Amino acid sequence: MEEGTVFDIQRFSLHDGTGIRTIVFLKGCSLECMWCSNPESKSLDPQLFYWQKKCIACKACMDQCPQRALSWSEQGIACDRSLCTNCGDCCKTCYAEALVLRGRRMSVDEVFDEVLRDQLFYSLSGGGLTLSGGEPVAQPGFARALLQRAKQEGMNTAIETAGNYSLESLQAIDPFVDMYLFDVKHTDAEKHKRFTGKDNGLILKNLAWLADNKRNVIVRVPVIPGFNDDVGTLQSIVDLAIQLGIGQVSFLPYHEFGRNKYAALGQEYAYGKISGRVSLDLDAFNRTKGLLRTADLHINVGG
Amino acid sequence: MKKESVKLLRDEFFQKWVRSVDTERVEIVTESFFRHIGNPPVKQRALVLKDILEKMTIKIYDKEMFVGNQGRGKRGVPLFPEYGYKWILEQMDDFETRIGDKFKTTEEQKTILRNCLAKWVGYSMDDRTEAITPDPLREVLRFGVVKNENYKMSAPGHMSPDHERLIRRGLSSIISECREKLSELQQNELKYEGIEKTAFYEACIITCEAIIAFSERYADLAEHMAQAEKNTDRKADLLKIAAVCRNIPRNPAKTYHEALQFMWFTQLIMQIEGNGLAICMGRPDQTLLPYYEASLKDGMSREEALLLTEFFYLKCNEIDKVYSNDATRFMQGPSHGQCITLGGVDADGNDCTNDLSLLLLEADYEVRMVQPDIAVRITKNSPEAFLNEIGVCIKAGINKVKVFGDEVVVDSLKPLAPDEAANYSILGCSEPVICGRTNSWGNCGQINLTKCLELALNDGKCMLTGKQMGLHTGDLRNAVSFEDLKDAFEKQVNYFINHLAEYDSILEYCHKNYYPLPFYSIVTQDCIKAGVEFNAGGARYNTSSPLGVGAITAGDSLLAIKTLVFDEKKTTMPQVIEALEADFVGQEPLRQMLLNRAPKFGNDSDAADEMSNYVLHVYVDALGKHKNNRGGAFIGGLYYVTSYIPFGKTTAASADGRKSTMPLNDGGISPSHGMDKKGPTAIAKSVSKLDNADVMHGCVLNQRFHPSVFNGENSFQNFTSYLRGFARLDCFECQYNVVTTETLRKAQKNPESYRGLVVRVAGYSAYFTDLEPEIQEDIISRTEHLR
Repeated sequence: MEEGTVFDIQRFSLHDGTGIRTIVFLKGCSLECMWCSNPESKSLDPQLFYWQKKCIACKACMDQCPQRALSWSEQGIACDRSLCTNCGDCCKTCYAEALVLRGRRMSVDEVFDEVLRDQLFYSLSGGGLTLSGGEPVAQPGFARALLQRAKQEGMNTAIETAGNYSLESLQAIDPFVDMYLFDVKHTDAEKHKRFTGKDNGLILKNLAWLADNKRNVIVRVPVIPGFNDDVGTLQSIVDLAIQLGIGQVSFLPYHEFGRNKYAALGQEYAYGKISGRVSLDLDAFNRTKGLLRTADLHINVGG
Repeated sequence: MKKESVKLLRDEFFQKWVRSVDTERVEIVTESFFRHIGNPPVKQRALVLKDILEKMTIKIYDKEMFVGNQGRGKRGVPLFPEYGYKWILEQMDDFETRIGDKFKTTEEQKTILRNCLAKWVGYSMDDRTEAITPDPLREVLRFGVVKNENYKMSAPGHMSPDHERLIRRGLSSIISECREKLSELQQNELKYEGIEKTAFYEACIITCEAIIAFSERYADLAEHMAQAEKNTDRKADLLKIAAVCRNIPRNPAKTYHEALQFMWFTQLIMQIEGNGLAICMGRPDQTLLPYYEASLKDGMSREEALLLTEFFYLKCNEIDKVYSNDATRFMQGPSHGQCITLGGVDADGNDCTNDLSLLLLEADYEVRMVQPDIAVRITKNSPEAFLNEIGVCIKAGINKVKVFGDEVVVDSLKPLAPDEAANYSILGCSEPVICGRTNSWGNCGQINLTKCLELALNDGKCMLTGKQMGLHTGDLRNAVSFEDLKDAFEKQVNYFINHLAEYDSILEYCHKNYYPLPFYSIVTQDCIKAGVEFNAGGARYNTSSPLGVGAITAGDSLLAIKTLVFDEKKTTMPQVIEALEADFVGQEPLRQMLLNRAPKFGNDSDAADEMSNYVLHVYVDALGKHKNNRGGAFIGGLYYVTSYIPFGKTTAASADGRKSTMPLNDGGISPSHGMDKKGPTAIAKSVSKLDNADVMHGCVLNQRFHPSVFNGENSFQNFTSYLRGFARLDCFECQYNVVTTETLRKAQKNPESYRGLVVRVAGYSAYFTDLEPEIQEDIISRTEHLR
């Protein structure tokens, strides 16, 4: 039985594929997007979150830590991340759930114990399973097993993917995917590399393969200030979609909702500093969007 | 009749009219009641009603198409000294200033009230109840673990008048029926029963004639006003009103307009007679359909029908009630349970949703006021257009439509009414009753189930006051098994339900012997046929349903103790009981353990759902041991208006982690605040694991949705699929709130109660309360933007 690391299962999701869906979030990602709003999704392993607001200062965790990585500070519990092994022992006595281990090893059956609970709603609405992450294909065998199982159960399947992997990996999951929510962040390889750590070669190749094979694809563009929110870049993505015969592009406006997760992981959220902007100017974005030449392409904002 | 008038009347209702006390009825009744005192009570009451309908000030207000008011002014609210005068005398100075449900009361009115009310000593329901309540019961009632306030302040209400029969036959045919019955009686020797029945039929005739005359008064007034009216459109309207009031309620209705006006007179006079709460309007999409179709055939357009319905809805909002300060806390807001029920199956089990069902929803979308309340019955075959219209209303944030899983409701009614179960309508909150045939005694008292658990844990002693309120069920600090706790809990619940049933008997005795209801009897099938008055048990179906409050809080608390004390042994009974008594002061880690380390209802967790189902059965089984004086059963109802807040205030900390005096779970079976963490489908699954059909008066679930649920192209289909799924899972009832900024603000102030509120943005998800304040601000502004 395939096992993998899951960091969330979210029922009643409405905006990531058709109908009522359950999203299974897998850990691990091959990109290092500076603005990432799910920092806990990058690593393949479970990670310790500390939510200071929930902490009741009982300090029971401090004695639990085999590494002695926890101490008390003005900001509540301080975790020496160089010592922490993310073993999760400290969470056992943290009844307030200030310390929680994000990510858990699960088998396909365990995941489906939860996923199948909403089977009635999937069948009434045409919904099903959406894999997300991270990058679900960062755990290729597990992702494939989950999708395959979903198809066996008669569910609709969708995957949210950044597309940065080999064509073989894509072809391995492809028989079990009904819809791709496929991120295209930039058309310029160099800029892509600077902001995400990798160029876009594999991504564009995989996208082309999906288009050539007439797969059901929605191109998703996280609109990031200072990276791709200019009309030229967005137009180039739209043009690419048109050229590939893809019917829909969704713009996902930049947000900083993930910032508190960085704090909870003991990390700093740097993109706001780098870009010099704390939010996307929605009016400006809408003006930009109005300038795009979109032909028959269906454009929407949000999922 | 103009479309613009609807908006103007609506604005006027809020801006021009003030909720205020009207003393006219008090004056008329005080004089009339004592003048007719020699008669049998049923006839006396008919004569009093006749006096009111003859003497009360009537008015036709500018622009309105339906006529008939409760009091002077559109929001003038009458008082009912025959049911209670003491609380009015004691509290009338507060009416204008109290926190909820304020009513303007002038000094002049207070003088009138003082003079009139003094005469009621010994003659009112509250005095008569007081006189026969035994001391031990009085003592138990004082503890507030069980209550019954609303059956002391008014007639029983909680019924669905037989609009179908009335509108089809007209009151003149009812009069003929009563006359025939009287002549049959006169052919026999007049025995005791004959005396009673003669008085009853005479009372019914007096009542019908009085109502016809009341309508004629409006016809005269409309004609009179038409003569003076310069505006030709309005003149035509007034002549129309006159013609309608001339024909009905004496004769059967011929048109949609007449049928609606007939229905309004019936609703209104029910109120004037007895002030009952939750008098619903049945299934107007079925009842009114023949008249709607006939009028369409005669040339009325669909738009005209819609507009007429809007005028009708506006009128419905003029029903209002003044309650005592205490009762107001338990039943806040001017809704009063005047509900219409749409959709559902017919007697053959076929879905009978029709164009009128849609039109009645569309009218509500336009009017958007508290009344009428709207219930919809979802069947396997509910048309998509119907569900879409429901979605439109809910999305608009009207937050009113209540959704019922039709199959489970019909099933629940089968033990009561095997052949007529399909013909139910909803009244009040969630109570299904067979239209026109039921005396339901819905909401006849309430029991605080969470408090029963508190007493069970503490040998019957209140943890807040130290008073011995319940039975001595033993010191559970030494409990050896979870069964000991269950046993004590069951005993406490039974003990209090026994007392509540006893008190209900006393109230029933008074209603039957002193406050008979001729008009209720006219509008309820079998009363006239059998010659038995409504309060005496004349209705075909009779029930009593005291509500269970805090069932989920109790279930979650029980499971926390079972899991953490008895199964996992992470804590002990003495520790838990001590912490509850101390309201968790210095025991926050234990509180967090109870909160977070035992499953809670609403997350599709079998253990938690089964435990709440256990509490449901303890309560329903305890009720099942009692019968009311009308020969009917005591049945369950897990719904309550605002009582979970005042009941919470008198309940110590509970083992689910809830702090002392905080609210109990809301709705009836809604998950405890902030404890539902897996979204609406998981809640539906949890609810489906409760034996919904065993709670005949319904299980109420409140669900909140973030408006983003309705964003995106397929959002309606998703929502309607959810509704279908909810009904398919045999869930009884749900009402939806699309979350507003105000709620999000409250969530900011009180995050612990809103933990389950998920904000779903594409590709990213978060619990709202986990977000930083500035991000919450962002979401709030975005929400506004989306709307």
